[in-house]
Amino acid sequence: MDDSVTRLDRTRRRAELAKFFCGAALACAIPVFLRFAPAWAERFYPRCLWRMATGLYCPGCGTLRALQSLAMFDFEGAFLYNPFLFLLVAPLVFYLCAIYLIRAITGRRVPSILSSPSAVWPVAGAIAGVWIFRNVFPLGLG
Amino acid sequence: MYCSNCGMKFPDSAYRCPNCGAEPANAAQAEAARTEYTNLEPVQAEPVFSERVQAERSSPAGDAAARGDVSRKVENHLVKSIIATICCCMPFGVVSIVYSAKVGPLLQANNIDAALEASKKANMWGNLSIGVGILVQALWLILYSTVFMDTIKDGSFGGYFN
Repeated sequence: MDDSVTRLDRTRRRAELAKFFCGAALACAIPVFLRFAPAWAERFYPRCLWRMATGLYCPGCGTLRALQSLAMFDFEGAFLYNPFLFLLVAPLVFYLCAIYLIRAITGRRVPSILSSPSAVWPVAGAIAGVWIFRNVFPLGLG
Repeated sequence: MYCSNCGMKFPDSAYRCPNCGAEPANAAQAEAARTEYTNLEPVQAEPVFSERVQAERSSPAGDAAARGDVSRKVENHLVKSIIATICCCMPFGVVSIVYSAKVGPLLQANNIDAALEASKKANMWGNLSIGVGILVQALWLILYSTVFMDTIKDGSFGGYFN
Protein backbone atom coordinates (compact mmCIF):
# COMPACT_ATOMS: atom_id res chain seq x y z
CA MET A 1 0.00 0.00 0.00
CA ASP A 2 1.21 3.46 -0.90
CA ASP A 3 2.24 5.15 2.31
CA SER A 4 1.15 8.60 1.15
CA VAL A 5 -2.44 7.38 1.00
CA THR A 6 -2.66 5.89 4.46
CA ARG A 7 -0.57 8.52 6.20
CA LEU A 8 -2.35 11.49 7.75
CA ASP A 9 -1.28 14.95 6.67
CA ARG A 10 -0.33 17.68 9.13
CA THR A 11 -3.79 19.23 9.52
CA ARG A 12 -5.44 15.85 10.01
CA ARG A 13 -2.82 14.94 12.61
CA ARG A 14 -3.51 18.14 14.54
CA ALA A 15 -7.26 17.57 14.32
CA GLU A 16 -6.84 14.02 15.63
CA LEU A 17 -4.68 15.27 18.49
CA ALA A 18 -7.24 17.97 19.35
CA LYS A 19 -10.01 15.37 19.28
CA PHE A 20 -8.04 13.16 21.63
CA PHE A 21 -7.48 15.89 24.18
CA CYS A 22 -11.12 17.05 24.03
CA GLY A 23 -12.23 13.48 24.66
CA ALA A 24 -9.73 13.06 27.49
CA ALA A 25 -10.87 16.33 29.10
CA LEU A 26 -14.51 15.21 28.93
CA ALA A 27 -13.63 11.84 30.43
CA CYS A 28 -11.66 13.51 33.23
CA ALA A 29 -14.61 15.80 33.98
CA ILE A 30 -16.66 12.80 35.13
CA PRO A 31 -14.63 11.95 38.27
CA VAL A 32 -14.32 15.66 39.06
CA PHE A 33 -18.10 16.01 39.05
CA LEU A 34 -18.47 12.79 41.02
CA ARG A 35 -16.13 14.14 43.70
CA PHE A 36 -17.21 17.74 44.01
CA ALA A 37 -20.90 17.61 43.12
CA PRO A 38 -21.95 14.04 43.85
CA ALA A 39 -25.58 14.84 44.63
CA TRP A 40 -25.90 16.81 41.43
CA ALA A 41 -24.11 14.21 39.33
CA GLU A 42 -26.33 11.51 40.79
CA ARG A 43 -29.34 12.91 39.00
CA PHE A 44 -27.71 12.27 35.64
CA TYR A 45 -26.83 8.66 36.40
CA PRO A 46 -27.72 6.48 33.44
CA ARG A 47 -29.90 3.49 34.17
CA CYS A 48 -28.85 0.03 33.04
CA LEU A 49 -31.40 -1.17 30.49
CA TRP A 50 -30.41 -4.78 31.02
CA ARG A 51 -30.95 -4.50 34.79
CA MET A 52 -34.26 -2.71 34.29
CA ALA A 53 -35.42 -5.43 31.93
CA THR A 54 -34.13 -8.56 33.67
CA GLY A 55 -33.04 -7.62 37.18
CA LEU A 56 -29.62 -9.13 36.49
CA TYR A 57 -26.25 -7.38 36.44
CA CYS A 58 -24.53 -6.57 33.17
CA PRO A 59 -20.74 -6.37 32.67
CA GLY A 60 -20.93 -2.59 32.94
CA CYS A 61 -22.95 -2.45 36.17
CA GLY A 62 -21.13 -0.65 38.98
CA THR A 63 -18.80 1.25 36.66
CA LEU A 64 -20.08 4.64 37.75
CA ARG A 65 -20.02 3.68 41.43
CA ALA A 66 -16.49 2.38 40.93
CA LEU A 67 -15.47 5.69 39.38
CA GLN A 68 -17.13 7.56 42.23
CA SER A 69 -15.28 5.46 44.80
CA LEU A 70 -12.10 6.11 42.88
CA ALA A 71 -12.78 9.83 42.95
CA MET A 72 -13.17 9.55 46.72
CA PHE A 73 -9.88 7.56 46.88
CA ASP A 74 -11.68 4.44 48.11
CA PHE A 75 -9.69 2.01 46.01
CA GLU A 76 -10.93 -1.21 47.58
CA GLY A 77 -14.57 -0.19 47.16
CA ALA A 78 -13.89 0.84 43.58
CA PHE A 79 -12.36 -2.53 42.77
CA LEU A 80 -15.24 -4.46 44.33
CA TYR A 81 -17.88 -2.49 42.43
CA ASN A 82 -16.48 -3.53 39.08
CA PRO A 83 -13.21 -5.50 39.16
CA PHE A 84 -13.29 -6.01 35.38
CA LEU A 85 -13.12 -2.28 34.85
CA PHE A 86 -9.61 -2.38 36.32
CA LEU A 87 -8.52 -5.83 35.19
CA LEU A 88 -9.75 -5.79 31.58
CA VAL A 89 -11.19 -2.47 30.48
CA ALA A 90 -8.58 -0.06 31.85
CA PRO A 91 -5.58 -1.76 30.16
CA LEU A 92 -7.55 -1.92 26.91
CA VAL A 93 -8.49 1.76 27.14
CA PHE A 94 -4.85 2.72 27.74
CA TYR A 95 -3.81 0.54 24.81
CA LEU A 96 -6.37 2.13 22.47
CA CYS A 97 -5.39 5.61 23.66
CA ALA A 98 -1.74 4.81 22.94
CA ILE A 99 -2.60 3.62 19.44
CA TYR A 100 -4.70 6.69 18.79
CA LEU A 101 -1.95 8.98 20.03
CA ILE A 102 0.71 7.27 17.93
CA ARG A 103 -1.51 7.73 14.89
CA ALA A 104 -2.21 11.36 15.77
CA ILE A 105 1.48 12.16 16.26
CA THR A 106 3.21 10.16 13.53
CA GLY A 107 0.26 9.97 11.13
CA ARG A 108 0.89 6.27 10.58
CA ARG A 109 -1.74 3.75 11.40
CA VAL A 110 -0.90 1.16 14.02
CA PRO A 111 -3.06 -1.94 13.61
CA SER A 112 -4.96 -2.62 16.81
CA ILE A 113 -5.09 -6.16 18.21
CA LEU A 114 -8.86 -5.67 18.39
CA SER A 115 -9.14 -5.28 14.63
CA SER A 116 -7.39 -8.57 13.97
CA PRO A 117 -9.76 -11.30 12.77
CA SER A 118 -8.94 -13.63 15.65
CA ALA A 119 -9.78 -11.08 18.35
CA VAL A 120 -13.56 -11.18 18.19
CA TRP A 121 -14.39 -14.55 19.72
CA PRO A 122 -12.01 -14.28 22.70
CA VAL A 123 -13.45 -10.83 23.44
CA ALA A 124 -17.04 -12.02 23.07
CA GLY A 125 -16.20 -14.99 25.29
CA ALA A 126 -14.68 -12.72 27.91
CA ILE A 127 -17.81 -10.56 27.92
CA ALA A 128 -20.04 -13.61 28.31
CA GLY A 129 -17.81 -14.94 31.10
CA VAL A 130 -17.86 -11.64 32.95
CA TRP A 131 -21.64 -11.48 32.49
CA ILE A 132 -22.10 -14.83 34.23
CA PHE A 133 -19.46 -14.21 36.89
CA ARG A 134 -21.09 -10.94 37.99
CA ASN A 135 -24.41 -12.57 38.65
CA VAL A 136 -22.87 -15.48 40.53
CA PHE A 137 -20.48 -13.30 42.56
CA PRO A 138 -21.85 -9.75 42.71
CA LEU A 139 -19.06 -8.66 45.14
CA GLY A 140 -19.59 -4.96 45.88
CA LEU A 141 -22.86 -4.83 43.99
CA GLY A 142 -24.75 -7.28 46.16
CA MET B 1 -33.15 17.36 -37.82
CA TYR B 2 -35.99 15.16 -38.97
CA CYS B 3 -35.76 11.52 -39.86
CA SER B 4 -36.05 10.90 -43.58
CA ASN B 5 -37.70 7.59 -42.90
CA CYS B 6 -40.30 8.15 -40.19
CA GLY B 7 -40.27 11.94 -39.83
CA MET B 8 -39.44 12.04 -36.16
CA LYS B 9 -37.43 14.98 -34.85
CA PHE B 10 -34.13 14.06 -33.22
CA PRO B 11 -30.94 15.89 -32.16
CA ASP B 12 -28.31 16.70 -34.75
CA SER B 13 -25.66 14.80 -32.87
CA ALA B 14 -27.49 11.49 -33.24
CA TYR B 15 -26.23 9.26 -36.02
CA ARG B 16 -29.33 7.10 -36.04
CA CYS B 17 -32.97 7.94 -35.63
CA PRO B 18 -33.94 6.98 -32.06
CA ASN B 19 -37.41 5.99 -33.35
CA CYS B 20 -36.83 3.79 -36.38
CA GLY B 21 -33.04 3.41 -36.43
CA ALA B 22 -32.62 4.84 -39.92
CA GLU B 23 -29.45 6.83 -40.63
CA PRO B 24 -29.92 10.51 -41.50
CA ALA B 25 -30.30 11.22 -45.19
CA ASN B 26 -27.47 13.72 -45.13
CA ALA B 27 -24.53 11.34 -45.38
CA ALA B 28 -21.88 13.89 -44.36
CA GLN B 29 -23.79 14.80 -41.24
CA ALA B 30 -24.28 11.17 -40.39
CA GLU B 31 -20.58 10.52 -40.82
CA ALA B 32 -19.68 13.50 -38.60
CA ALA B 33 -22.06 12.34 -35.89
CA ARG B 34 -20.73 8.83 -36.06
CA THR B 35 -17.09 9.82 -35.76
CA GLU B 36 -17.96 12.11 -32.87
CA TYR B 37 -19.71 9.24 -31.19
CA THR B 38 -17.05 6.66 -31.75
CA ASN B 39 -14.18 8.97 -30.87
CA LEU B 40 -15.51 9.50 -27.37
CA GLU B 41 -13.02 8.60 -24.68
CA PRO B 42 -13.93 5.23 -23.31
CA VAL B 43 -15.23 5.80 -19.80
CA GLN B 44 -12.67 4.47 -17.35
CA ALA B 45 -14.62 3.01 -14.44
CA GLU B 46 -13.14 3.68 -11.03
CA PRO B 47 -12.33 0.26 -9.62
CA VAL B 48 -14.59 -0.49 -6.69
CA PHE B 49 -13.04 -0.89 -3.28
CA SER B 50 -13.22 -4.67 -3.21
CA GLU B 51 -11.47 -4.89 -6.59
CA ARG B 52 -8.71 -2.59 -5.42
CA VAL B 53 -8.26 -4.68 -2.30
CA GLN B 54 -8.31 -7.84 -4.39
CA ALA B 55 -5.71 -6.43 -6.74
CA GLU B 56 -3.52 -5.47 -3.82
CA ARG B 57 -3.80 -8.87 -2.24
CA SER B 58 -2.85 -10.66 -5.41
CA SER B 59 0.09 -8.34 -5.95
CA PRO B 60 3.48 -9.94 -5.48
CA ALA B 61 4.30 -7.46 -2.71
CA GLY B 62 4.01 -10.23 -0.16
CA ASP B 63 0.85 -11.92 1.00
CA ALA B 64 1.37 -11.25 4.70
CA ALA B 65 1.81 -7.52 4.16
CA ALA B 66 -1.21 -7.40 1.88
CA ARG B 67 -3.29 -9.27 4.41
CA GLY B 68 -2.30 -6.80 7.12
CA ASP B 69 -3.38 -3.95 4.86
CA VAL B 70 -6.70 -5.55 4.11
CA SER B 71 -7.60 -6.31 7.69
CA ARG B 72 -6.72 -2.73 8.49
CA LYS B 73 -9.01 -1.41 5.78
CA VAL B 74 -12.04 -3.54 6.48
CA GLU B 75 -12.97 -2.44 10.00
CA ASN B 76 -14.57 -5.06 12.20
CA HIS B 77 -16.03 -2.37 14.51
CA LEU B 78 -15.37 -4.56 17.53
CA VAL B 79 -14.91 -1.73 20.03
CA LYS B 80 -18.15 -0.11 18.95
CA SER B 81 -20.10 -3.36 19.18
CA ILE B 82 -18.72 -4.07 22.67
CA ILE B 83 -19.71 -0.62 23.90
CA ALA B 84 -23.08 -1.03 22.19
CA THR B 85 -23.66 -4.38 23.89
CA ILE B 86 -22.70 -3.40 27.41
CA CYS B 87 -23.72 0.26 27.65
CA CYS B 88 -26.64 0.53 25.29
CA CYS B 89 -29.13 -1.83 23.79
CA MET B 90 -27.88 -5.37 24.33
CA PRO B 91 -29.86 -7.33 21.67
CA PHE B 92 -28.72 -5.04 18.86
CA GLY B 93 -25.21 -5.00 20.28
CA VAL B 94 -25.02 -8.79 20.12
CA VAL B 95 -26.08 -8.70 16.46
CA SER B 96 -23.28 -6.20 15.91
CA ILE B 97 -20.73 -8.50 17.58
CA VAL B 98 -21.87 -11.43 15.45
CA TYR B 99 -21.37 -9.44 12.24
CA SER B 100 -18.08 -8.17 13.60
CA ALA B 101 -16.98 -11.77 14.10
CA LYS B 102 -17.84 -12.60 10.50
CA VAL B 103 -15.52 -9.96 9.03
CA GLY B 104 -12.25 -11.71 9.87
CA PRO B 105 -13.02 -15.20 8.52
CA LEU B 106 -14.53 -13.70 5.36
CA LEU B 107 -11.34 -11.72 4.80
CA GLN B 108 -9.27 -14.83 5.29
CA ALA B 109 -11.47 -16.65 2.80
CA ASN B 110 -10.68 -13.78 0.40
CA ASN B 111 -14.37 -12.90 0.20
CA ILE B 112 -13.84 -9.15 0.33
CA ASP B 113 -17.34 -8.13 -0.73
CA ALA B 114 -19.01 -10.20 1.95
CA ALA B 115 -16.49 -8.93 4.51
CA LEU B 116 -17.31 -5.33 3.59
CA GLU B 117 -21.00 -6.13 3.88
CA ALA B 118 -20.52 -7.70 7.32
CA SER B 119 -18.41 -4.74 8.42
CA LYS B 120 -21.14 -2.35 7.29
CA LYS B 121 -23.78 -4.34 9.16
CA ALA B 122 -21.67 -4.50 12.33
CA ASN B 123 -21.33 -0.73 12.16
CA MET B 124 -25.03 -0.24 11.45
CA TRP B 125 -26.25 -2.42 14.32
CA GLY B 126 -23.72 -0.86 16.67
CA ASN B 127 -24.94 2.62 15.76
CA LEU B 128 -28.54 1.51 16.12
CA SER B 129 -27.86 0.09 19.55
CA ILE B 130 -26.04 3.21 20.70
CA GLY B 131 -28.84 5.38 19.31
CA VAL B 132 -31.52 3.38 21.15
CA GLY B 133 -29.44 3.52 24.34
CA ILE B 134 -29.01 7.29 24.19
CA LEU B 135 -32.70 7.75 23.39
CA VAL B 136 -33.84 5.65 26.35
CA GLN B 137 -31.44 7.38 28.76
CA ALA B 138 -32.62 10.78 27.54
CA LEU B 139 -36.26 9.74 27.99
CA TRP B 140 -35.45 8.46 31.45
CA LEU B 141 -33.80 11.73 32.36
CA ILE B 142 -36.75 13.76 31.10
CA LEU B 143 -39.48 11.59 32.55
CA TYR B 144 -38.09 10.51 35.90
CA SER B 145 -35.70 13.20 36.90
CA THR B 146 -36.22 16.79 37.86
CA VAL B 147 -32.81 17.86 36.57
CA PHE B 148 -34.15 20.18 33.94
CA MET B 149 -36.97 21.59 36.02
CA ASP B 150 -34.71 22.50 38.94
CA THR B 151 -32.14 24.06 36.68
CA ILE B 152 -34.74 26.13 34.89
CA LYS B 153 -36.43 27.24 38.14
CA ASP B 154 -33.58 28.82 40.04
CA GLY B 155 -30.69 28.65 37.59
CA SER B 156 -28.39 27.28 40.30
CA PHE B 157 -28.50 23.62 39.35
CA GLY B 158 -31.02 23.15 42.14
CA GLY B 159 -28.46 24.00 44.80
CA TYR B 160 -26.71 20.71 44.20
CA PHE B 161 -23.23 22.20 44.16
CA ASN B 162 -21.98 22.08 47.73
